[in-house]
Amino acid sequence: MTVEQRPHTVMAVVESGPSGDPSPSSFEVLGAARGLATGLGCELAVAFVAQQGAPAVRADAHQYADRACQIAWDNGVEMAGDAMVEAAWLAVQTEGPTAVLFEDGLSARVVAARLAVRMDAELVVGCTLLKVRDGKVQMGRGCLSGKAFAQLEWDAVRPVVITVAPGAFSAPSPSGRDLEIVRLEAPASAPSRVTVIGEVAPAPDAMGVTEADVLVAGGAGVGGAEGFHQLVELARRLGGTVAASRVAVDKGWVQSNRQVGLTGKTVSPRLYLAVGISGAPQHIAGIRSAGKVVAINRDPRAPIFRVADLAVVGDLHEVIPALLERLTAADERTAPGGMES
Amino acid sequence: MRIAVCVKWVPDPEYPFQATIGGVHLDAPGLTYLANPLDMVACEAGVRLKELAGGTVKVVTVGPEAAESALRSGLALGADSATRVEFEGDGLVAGDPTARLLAAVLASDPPDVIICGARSSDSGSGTVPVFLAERLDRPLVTNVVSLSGVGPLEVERRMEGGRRQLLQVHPPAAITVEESLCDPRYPSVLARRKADRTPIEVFTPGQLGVDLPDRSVTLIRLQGPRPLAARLVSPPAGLLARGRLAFVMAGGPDQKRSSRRLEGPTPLVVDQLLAYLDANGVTGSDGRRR
Ligand SMILES: Cc1cc2nc3c(=O)[nH]c(=O)nc-3n(C[C@H](O)[C@H](O)[C@H](O)COP(=O)(O)OP(=O)(O)OC[C@H]3O[C@@H](n4cnc5c(N)ncnc54)[C@H](O)[C@@H]3O)c2cc1C
Repeated sequence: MTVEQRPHTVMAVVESGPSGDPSPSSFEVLGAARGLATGLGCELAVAFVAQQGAPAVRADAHQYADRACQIAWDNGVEMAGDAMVEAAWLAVQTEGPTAVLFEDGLSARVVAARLAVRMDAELVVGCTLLKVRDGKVQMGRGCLSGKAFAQLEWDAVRPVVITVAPGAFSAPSPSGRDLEIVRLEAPASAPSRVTVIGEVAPAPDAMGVTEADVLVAGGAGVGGAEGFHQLVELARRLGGTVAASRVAVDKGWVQSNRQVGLTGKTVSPRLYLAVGISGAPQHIAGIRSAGKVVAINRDPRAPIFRVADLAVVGDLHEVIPALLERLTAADERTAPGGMES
Repeated sequence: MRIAVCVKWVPDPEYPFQATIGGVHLDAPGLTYLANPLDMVACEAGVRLKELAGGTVKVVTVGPEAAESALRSGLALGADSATRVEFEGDGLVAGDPTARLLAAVLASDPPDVIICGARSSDSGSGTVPVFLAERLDRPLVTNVVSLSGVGPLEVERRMEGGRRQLLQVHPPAAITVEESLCDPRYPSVLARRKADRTPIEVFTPGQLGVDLPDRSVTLIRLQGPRPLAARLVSPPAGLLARGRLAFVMAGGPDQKRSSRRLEGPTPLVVDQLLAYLDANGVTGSDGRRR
């Protein structure tokens, strides 16, 4: 199965945030897309999508591609998903790409899947490996709840839509060439058939460990149920929930449905904060598909540090209270109102 | 209210998969297949909706004959009827054909509400419900963690960053459900027996008039889990052949590409930790969550 037709364009769809800056992981999407484009011998187009009125994308952002466009949409935020589909679809119709890449995420998967139906394309989500070898495009993604890795091959006959897992690719280097950014306006999406009533911030205990974006996990080092109260508070502030090692569960500090590991749950949060957990293989087995791992442990040789992106060597009984204090202070500095406002 | 619940037949997610030279095998000894756990949450939600609003629940699967065991699990929870579409395909890459077949079979007898698990435990993509809703042109609410009301369904869904949104959607609609929505009941012996006796309606893709397109993405190999690093790791030279093999099979050391270390006085450490959380979008630039 070699690439028969010569594909012309790989396209990355990048959301430029409220500040006009694409997120750091968007650059990883550009990196993955650049790698694919180079491997296939085709050009890289980038489509920046943003809500109408958002600031222009960061000045050098377009230097990572061969062509760039910026697409604005004019719908309310509650319909961001519908609007994203229209914006991406417009970009696809303009560029006719053979592959379209997004940053992986809950809402991005929905947008990518809807786009794939419109394009009659294949879809691969949560891709952590993407390379071209001997004219074949190899992709890979974790599966079986992180217990296996699926190697896939794309023959480039039908187009493909890919969502790229954060942390798996490096950002490309800018070309230094200035490109003209073509500005387009997405057609309004059909009126939403879903009505948004409002937003709520859930309490950590109303969130299961498999569905949280942020997990604050505690182990034997936490020392007791009291210490876990602080972890719950931290989880609440970070918009996540609490998980635990088996020892913490066995001691009765935490409910058993929050245990992570071989005999517990397999989790895939964007951030896993391991507090006072040594990092036994049976525990690590549960966090293989986690995004970033931050570990706080006073033992500089704790095995958990081998899988951590950020290793904090210190006493959790100092670090956690200090962290909470700083978060509280920051809260008080800014005007109250919260996210519903 | 007519409710359809889509169910996937998956390898037992609790099975301790081990990588061997040939990779990870989905026909490993002792491995059983069962209904995807989140799809059982979907069944329970469907049955509760029926108990509230009246109506019927139909469970639907796309798969081989053995997949009917997943349908029987749904029937045991209280579904009224079951349909299977004959399909032999790799469950790890079959999202597209599965959704085409589900769309065809559901379009022939359209339900008011379609409920799916938010993702399968094997593939974990969560894309079949999206494909399905798009093909049937239905509004879709994903990742539902709470469900009430029947006229319009009132749902709470989880979003990125731990936020939750309250929504209303009028049937015909589709939703995908998360673990915390409800716990599937434990079926009685009687319910199981009844489920075993319920006839299952079977269709072939041809009978549904579905012509599945050739696939462009195929599964080449299933291997042991690998660390995030997308580069080749070579085993330490000191290892014997057996050790080198084990090293490679395990996907190399459990080591991240670049790990940063913070030590020193607590205030400084916390400063940097906050900056890290910030840079990764967990807290706002002012230290508050977004
Ligand atoms: C068959 C089997 C299945 C298992 N399944 C699981 C499973 O699913 N999940 C699971 O988690 N375990 C499981 N285990 C147990 C596992 O082997 C470990 O025993 C367990 O994970 C250890 O938990 P821990 O890290 O909390 O405790 P410990 O190993 O005791 O580690 C505590 C850590 O806290 C640190 N610490 C202590 N005080 C402080 C402080 N003040 N500040 C900072 N750091 C501090 C220490 O340095 C140490 O690293 C299983 C074991 C077996 C045999």
